[in-house]
Amino acid sequence: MSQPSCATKNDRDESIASAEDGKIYQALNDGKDAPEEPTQGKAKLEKIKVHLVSVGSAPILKKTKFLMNADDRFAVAIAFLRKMLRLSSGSSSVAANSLFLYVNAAFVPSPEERIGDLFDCFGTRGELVVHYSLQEAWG
Amino acid sequence: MMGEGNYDDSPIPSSNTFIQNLNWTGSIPVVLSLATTSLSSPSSPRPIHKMISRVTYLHVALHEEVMHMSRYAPAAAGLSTAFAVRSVEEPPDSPAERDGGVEGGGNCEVSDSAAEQEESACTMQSKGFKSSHDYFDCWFEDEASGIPLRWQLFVGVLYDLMKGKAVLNSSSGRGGTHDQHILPWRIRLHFTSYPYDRLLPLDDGSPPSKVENTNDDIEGSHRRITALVGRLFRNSLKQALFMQYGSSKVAMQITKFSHEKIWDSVMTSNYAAYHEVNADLQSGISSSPISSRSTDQDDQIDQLQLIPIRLMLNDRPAIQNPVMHRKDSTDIKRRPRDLAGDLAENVSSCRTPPYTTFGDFLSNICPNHFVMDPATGQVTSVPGSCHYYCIQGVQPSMKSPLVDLWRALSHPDHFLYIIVVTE
Repeated sequence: MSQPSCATKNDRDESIASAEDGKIYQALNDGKDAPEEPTQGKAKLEKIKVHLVSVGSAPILKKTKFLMNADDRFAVAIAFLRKMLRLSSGSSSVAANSLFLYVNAAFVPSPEERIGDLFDCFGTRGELVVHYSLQEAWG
Repeated sequence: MMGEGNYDDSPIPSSNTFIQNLNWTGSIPVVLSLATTSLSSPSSPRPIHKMISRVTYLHVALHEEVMHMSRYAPAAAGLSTAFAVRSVEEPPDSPAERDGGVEGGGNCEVSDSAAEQEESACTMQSKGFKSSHDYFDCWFEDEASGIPLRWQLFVGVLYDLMKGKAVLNSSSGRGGTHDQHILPWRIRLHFTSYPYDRLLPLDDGSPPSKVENTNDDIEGSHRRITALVGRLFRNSLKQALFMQYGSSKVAMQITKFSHEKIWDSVMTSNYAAYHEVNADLQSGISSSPISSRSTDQDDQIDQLQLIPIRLMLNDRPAIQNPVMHRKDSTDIKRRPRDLAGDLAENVSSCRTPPYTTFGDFLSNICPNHFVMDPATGQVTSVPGSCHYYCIQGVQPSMKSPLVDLWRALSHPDHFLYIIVVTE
């Protein structure tokens, strides 16, 4: 039985994610679309301004606004923040420090959601506001 | 403006509650078997047949079956250290399982005695071993295509995706129902080699103490996974509510008790309980469908900011684009970029209704497969393109207003999942 064309993108990304990248779809790491891309084309290099806000006892970053690719998945933002805050990602939840990222101080997006989509739906004043905390803040 | 006569679809019942009730009772026959790679006992368990609801999740619906089959799985699956005590449970002498039922009728569940509890309790001493959480994490695979099934998606959505692939692959071409060849849905259960490159990990960084009574056994693992899926569902619901109302006010007002009640109703597929809590969250649910209204009645529908829609395209993660209910709406806070421009063009041609239709959405999002004829406003497939689309297993008319589809066919997390499978 032939595989659908979009499934082959799993083959493209052979590299093993480094421990710091956390556990995310390998295939989602590269934001490229499959060759036969039916969805409406958006500029591949579109950047989204992401504003990170610390909550509670979470460490405060010196620089809080970052540009991220619209095609990246939210998992990339999570891994990026972990690196910035120097939190270990580890191989299991017990070893890793917990880190919670909230959009608009309301919900936790799934790691596979596209940052561009999140911005389109939930962005305010030209940026996507992401709160981060070490404990669960908003359930 | 199109008159009522153009909407020649057969009249749908005016009560969305009625339709939603039907959604919740929809179930899919499934045959679950243990993968040979996860088998570590002399005899293999017989496949189990079960009917599972469309609006639940695999790990929740197949809990008992997973418990049963875990006894045949390697005791120390996933661990590779000398600390683990390896023990393989003996298969039961007189298996209580019943294997039977054919497609469409089978409702056989396995009912085991409570002896399995004590069996799993003596499996390992893994105090201090950090990854004991991953111990009993199981994952499901579609037997026909070998594709791992994403645990974060509803059963109905997963099945429709698989069915779409099967329909496209079959020689008789697209369209029509080929259920008799596809059902029962054959799923393989794995306890080893979790495909981290194709599935989200079964943990989200929550400290284990958050879940009560998390033990290092299959039951504890199930509790943890159920809690994880519940969190994902809850956050999905909050996202949808944010999109509906344009602010997090309603989403954040839901009490913990309500959340639990909603999640319980999803786990047990109890629409009555769900509707009790959901009625507060869902304004305009009992309004009549747009297509049967004579004038543009100004009602709660117009408070809808964005329609929560997720497009499932083949194996890609959900695509969540902002979709407005009314095309000429100017009071949205978040303007979707290209979408607004294209839709505005369609409004100017007086053939298309002022609200977004299913055809509008498809032709915007998959222009290679669906095209709108600017003269008539009709949306048709691009000739030569091969695709399958459906919502909750049905293929609505292209002229259906998206908001009506959303209110009738949305899933418990308030999202309308549109499935499109392409070659």
